[in-house]
Amino acid sequence: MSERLLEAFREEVESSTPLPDFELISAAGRNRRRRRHTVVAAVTACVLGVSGLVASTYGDRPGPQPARGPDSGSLVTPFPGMDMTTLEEGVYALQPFGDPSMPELQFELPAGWNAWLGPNRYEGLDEAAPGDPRANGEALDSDPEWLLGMVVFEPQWFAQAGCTMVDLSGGDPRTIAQALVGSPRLEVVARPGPSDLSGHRGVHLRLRERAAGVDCEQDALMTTGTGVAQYLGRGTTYDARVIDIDGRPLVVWAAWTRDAPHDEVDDLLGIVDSVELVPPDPS
Amino acid sequence: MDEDTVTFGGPWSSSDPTSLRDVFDSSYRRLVTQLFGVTGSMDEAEDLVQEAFVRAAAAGRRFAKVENPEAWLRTTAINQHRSRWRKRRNAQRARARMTAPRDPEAVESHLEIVTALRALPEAQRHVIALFYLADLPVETIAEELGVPAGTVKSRLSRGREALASHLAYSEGGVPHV
Repeated sequence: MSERLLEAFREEVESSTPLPDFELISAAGRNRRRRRHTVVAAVTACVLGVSGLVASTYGDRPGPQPARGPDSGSLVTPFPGMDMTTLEEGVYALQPFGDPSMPELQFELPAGWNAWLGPNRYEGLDEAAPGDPRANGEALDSDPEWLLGMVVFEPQWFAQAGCTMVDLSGGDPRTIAQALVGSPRLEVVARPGPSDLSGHRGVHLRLRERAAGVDCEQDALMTTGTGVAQYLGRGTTYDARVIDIDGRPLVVWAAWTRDAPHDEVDDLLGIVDSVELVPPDPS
Repeated sequence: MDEDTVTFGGPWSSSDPTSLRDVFDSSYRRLVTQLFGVTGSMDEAEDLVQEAFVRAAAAGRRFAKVENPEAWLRTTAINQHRSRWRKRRNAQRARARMTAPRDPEAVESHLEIVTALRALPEAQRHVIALFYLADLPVETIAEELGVPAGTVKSRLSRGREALASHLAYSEGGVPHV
């Protein structure tokens, strides 16, 4: 009798147990790992700082320099944009579409990411000659097996069913999220939910690209203030945070292709989780 | 590259390695059920399993190399259960993470078996849960709990007897084997 009761118990509990939000669990794990790394980095910096090695290391290299003075208590490096160089680990500041009225995006970056519209990584980047932008560019142009990255943009037109595009310039986050959900080549992985980025409300959703169906003349996912966002291929995951910045939509867009290694995706999501919006300086 | 194009370029292939999300989708409910049997508490089970997944996410690339992710998660959860000092803090975390309400009737309808499980000595309850709820063979249970297979067999035998006895008693019958 006890075996039968245990079996019934198992079936009942398995079917009735609610699934918690995986994103919260995953984010808690990434935060825990980042805290560990931060502690290690802080200890390392203290040890090296005593011997003056930190200053001499930065002094010997051209490239990113601290954006803030030492009185700010942190080293924030301006994100260089599309110069196709491999970046050092650090906190970077990116000005969305160069518009000084927009808040600055600050994010933590592990070592070894490429400077593009946003940070990106791809197969072959680590083998490219360090400090040679052409090598990074050639690796990206040589059809890497996997690639991933984060960009930030102001969305405009979105692909919809029937090879049409809809203009949502200046739209609110929920409308834009619905347009992404309605995109014919995307399936919803995580439905739109509320999101908050440094006090700015918005919507967070995740989508995955399906195989191409109908051939459309304009084969683009959307257009943005900085260009055209093309499809990256079947199985690519797109993580979108659509944020309202005083009536203007801002999209923090992370994407990883189907074969991107798990640890690389973890790093990418860690970068996205670390994003903070810093208001423009009123002066 | 066309600078007006926001793309990362590149082809892709068809292989799709198992992600933590896949493990979560396929194993979460099963693990909660097993840990419910181990602990005798649904709250504790959910808390332990969620904490195990947080640790897996924190492990990053190391977890991707684990041969049997569900076994790793179960062992992690059981080890946490053994560290009783964590219980109060973890319960608070679990409540914070939980989004969907549970159906209390589903659990209460099995009050009889839950009560009987709770009445078992902890060592016997672990073995009964892993054998009947996780479908693990004796040898695997011995490995996961770090005890000899003979110990597992004897705990299983005594646990079965005690469980049957408790169930018979709860129905008002005479204890029997």
